[in-house]
Amino acid sequence: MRHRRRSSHPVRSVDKEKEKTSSKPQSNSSDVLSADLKSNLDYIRKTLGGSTDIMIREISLDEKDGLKVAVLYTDGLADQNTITESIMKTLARMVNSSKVAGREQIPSFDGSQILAEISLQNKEIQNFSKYKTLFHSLLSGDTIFLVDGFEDGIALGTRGWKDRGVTETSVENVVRGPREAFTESLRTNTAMIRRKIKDPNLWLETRQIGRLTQTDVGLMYINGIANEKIVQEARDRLDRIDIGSILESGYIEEAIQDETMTPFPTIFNTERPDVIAAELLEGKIAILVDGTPFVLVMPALFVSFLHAAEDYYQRSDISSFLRMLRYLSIFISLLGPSLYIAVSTFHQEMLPTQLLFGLAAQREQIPFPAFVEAVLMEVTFEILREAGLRLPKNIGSAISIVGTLVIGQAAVEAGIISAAMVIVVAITAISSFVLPAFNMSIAFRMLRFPLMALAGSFGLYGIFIGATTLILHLCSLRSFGVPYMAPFAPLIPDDQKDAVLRLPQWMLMTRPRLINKDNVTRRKSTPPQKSRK
Amino acid sequence: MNVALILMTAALVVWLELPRMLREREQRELWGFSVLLLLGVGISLTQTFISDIPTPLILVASLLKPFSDFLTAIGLIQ
Amino acid sequence: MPNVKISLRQLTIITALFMIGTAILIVPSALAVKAKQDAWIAALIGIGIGSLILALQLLLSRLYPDMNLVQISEKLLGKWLGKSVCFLLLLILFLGGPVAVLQEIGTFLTVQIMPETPIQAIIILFGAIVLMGVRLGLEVLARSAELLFPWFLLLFLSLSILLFSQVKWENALPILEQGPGPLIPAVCSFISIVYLPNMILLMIFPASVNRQSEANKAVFIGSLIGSLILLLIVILSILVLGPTITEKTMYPSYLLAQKINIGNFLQRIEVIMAVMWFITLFFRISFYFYATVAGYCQIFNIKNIQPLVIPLGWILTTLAVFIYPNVMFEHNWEARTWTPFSFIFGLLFPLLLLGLHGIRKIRSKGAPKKSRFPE
Repeated sequence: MRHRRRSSHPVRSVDKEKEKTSSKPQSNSSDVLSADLKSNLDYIRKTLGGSTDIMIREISLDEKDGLKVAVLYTDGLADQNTITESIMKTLARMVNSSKVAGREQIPSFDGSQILAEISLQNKEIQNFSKYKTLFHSLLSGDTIFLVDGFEDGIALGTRGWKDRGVTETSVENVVRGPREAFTESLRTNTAMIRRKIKDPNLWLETRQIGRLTQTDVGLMYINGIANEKIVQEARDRLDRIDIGSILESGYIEEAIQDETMTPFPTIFNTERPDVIAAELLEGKIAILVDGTPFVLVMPALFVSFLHAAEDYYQRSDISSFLRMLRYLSIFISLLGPSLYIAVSTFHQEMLPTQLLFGLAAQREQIPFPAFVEAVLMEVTFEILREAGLRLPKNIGSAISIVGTLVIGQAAVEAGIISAAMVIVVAITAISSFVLPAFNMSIAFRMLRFPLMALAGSFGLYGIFIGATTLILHLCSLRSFGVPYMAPFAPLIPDDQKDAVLRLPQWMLMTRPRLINKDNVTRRKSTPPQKSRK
Repeated sequence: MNVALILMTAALVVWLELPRMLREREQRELWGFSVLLLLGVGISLTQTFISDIPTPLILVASLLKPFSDFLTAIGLIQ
Repeated sequence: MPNVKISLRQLTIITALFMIGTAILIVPSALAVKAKQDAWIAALIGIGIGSLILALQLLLSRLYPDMNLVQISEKLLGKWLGKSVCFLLLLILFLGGPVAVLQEIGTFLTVQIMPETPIQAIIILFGAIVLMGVRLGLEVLARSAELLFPWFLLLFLSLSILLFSQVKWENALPILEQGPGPLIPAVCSFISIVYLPNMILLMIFPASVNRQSEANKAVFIGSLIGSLILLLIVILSILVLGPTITEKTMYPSYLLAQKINIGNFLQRIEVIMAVMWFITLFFRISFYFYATVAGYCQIFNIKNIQPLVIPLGWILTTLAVFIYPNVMFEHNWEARTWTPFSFIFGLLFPLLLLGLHGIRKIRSKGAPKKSRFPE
């Protein structure tokens, strides 16, 4: 038996992460492979519990000498064609060539040749000597190639499984702009981003997070534009995660976000590659998680959640108008019912007389105070909305029409709710969907309820108290060190060009100042030139 | 009922602030916190039992009376 | 002392909002009582003299950059005397400042807008948000001020513009009917409400600003913005309501807001205008309170102000309920005791400190000539 030790190739993943996650002691006496193929395979079978989708093929290359090799792969994760082409056919060729050469040649046929030959035929090679690496590669879709008599094995990159393929965006739709969305495969997603930014400074770091899931998590940023401190902070926070499973980017988001006791998100997520590319170009960092199309972006400020990708594809005047509309809808969705309750209960003098008569007539018949009415309607609407998400597509629209029209109408006629309240709730609900970011709009939807309670008890004063609490809270948030409400507070005049309005591209000369202090200039400003006649 | 409310709020405040102060061993802060909290609770409790507490401003007014009279005499204030 | 940095723009806004504070509600009436229809002249003179006093206070800050008020007084008066003087001054300031203003809000709301709501509830709610703001820190307060200031301006400008149609110029006549005499107490009143309490901000801004040299300019601009807004309110009150009504009403600005009437459609929107005062009152109390807490922490060498905020806030709220037993007492106090105190705190105290500074300088330099204001 010959023993060879090979120097290990640079490992793909971060080694210290491995060491940390191997907290469970192996029941085996050693965690490195032995030179004896049989004992290796026995141990592997025992650890995997004889799972029937893990294929272990022992091949005897030579009938007489008994040089054995083993090929292991996971059915469904490893691409059969690649295995056949690059491994099986190579082996067959070698066996045949040795047979042709004659029996005398056989002693010179040794394992290192086999390994060299196999290595040549495959695209990704990794040498390993630990069981940890073996299992990780095997269960990720690589093919493991073990040779009897060697303490090292090779993992060959044969990953290929069925995934969804690049499809249209489901949540973030635009009228104008690219329609493709990320998929669940990390490599596809990184490729999509690389297609948008072909700069060598776009760097990607990968790590495996999650003790049991060993999910691939990628960190992408543009070196030179992104703030090095924030990148380092992101790295540290990722490395500090100690959790059993990462199934979606939401797990990572919760683990690394600045504040937990807030309804407002401090990390932005999106399924569109063009949005990610734009954010990277502004100096932010993206975190991609294998298994989910939603990619995280940080640092995320309040304004990021109010910007849509489309703002930059349409003309600047249209986009500015739409942006202001979005800000207006925040107010409506947050304060709508509260204002109605406050005015109709405490400050009736504010309404024009005609309206006041109509409203009073309506409210006469309603047994509940305005606050109870509002809460009833709002809760009903939230139930309808949530149910609408889960309904199968064909019944979905029918139920929502039934829900809103019929129930609302019936409630008004039964005298439980006044018609004005239905209108208010409907407008509020619709305006809450104007926000492109779901996590932000749901924050405002939730906050509506305490504000309604305050409005019902203290009128406009109560609304002021609630609003001030909200403002104080928002101003105290930071996202990776950057104040959340920038560029509004602290006021940064340069960044105002892209906050509420969207000024033409040739005016947007600087990147957001607080995200990157050094590399601020984007371009030289040249206004559009009219042709001379 | 009011007393219970006051004591519960005091307990809440203590629960909010005390662990952090003990952890960081901030001696002066602990003293200041305790003194002020006791003072606050004391005033609140006195208020629930005696509804007509004299305002401390009376003391201040009597303290500043001479100066005040002086300024009135000059005609700076009325 | 927590090491926060606020920007120059934030400093300007803070100063402006602090000055406008309660003044926007009570200054027109306070001035009109004494000067009748010449209240606006009194305000104008008040701005002039007040700015000089402000310059005096800022001089103190410029001579001792990076030191807040308590530290300066400790340095000049000696450790124990400085601490005790500040302790006493801050105590009286606390009682007559944040506590009193908090009750003002309660009274204002109970009298004008929501008579059926118990005053304790109103005061507790407002005290709670002030407490929250101060506990979150100066940076958060400054940023919130930056966010809310445009809304205040919007409301104020719409108030002024909407009322413009109802201005009656003859209300300002006759000018100086009784000569300049009655102006003097009016001017003193103006200064004591608007400019003199500014001294307390010396507790905040020296240690908290980016560029020391331009900080004074920022404060000055803020004070100008604040006092001009107040001048405008006084002018509007006199011109639209007339001197008699202004003098007799408790809150003339509220009455002003009630008078807005556009096409019989937009009327009685005074509650929305009230939000404007909520904003200024909130920041006045917040910065008053923050400065007093910071002052006490400095006196007792306590590094971290955060744990003390809630108990002091509790005291603030409890005291606010009964600090003025009735309105008569309030008026008497404001005219007879608070004005003299603000003179002591805002004028005589800085003069004393500056004088001591001068003496120190002379002792160390050994110069023969004794000047009151060095350099």
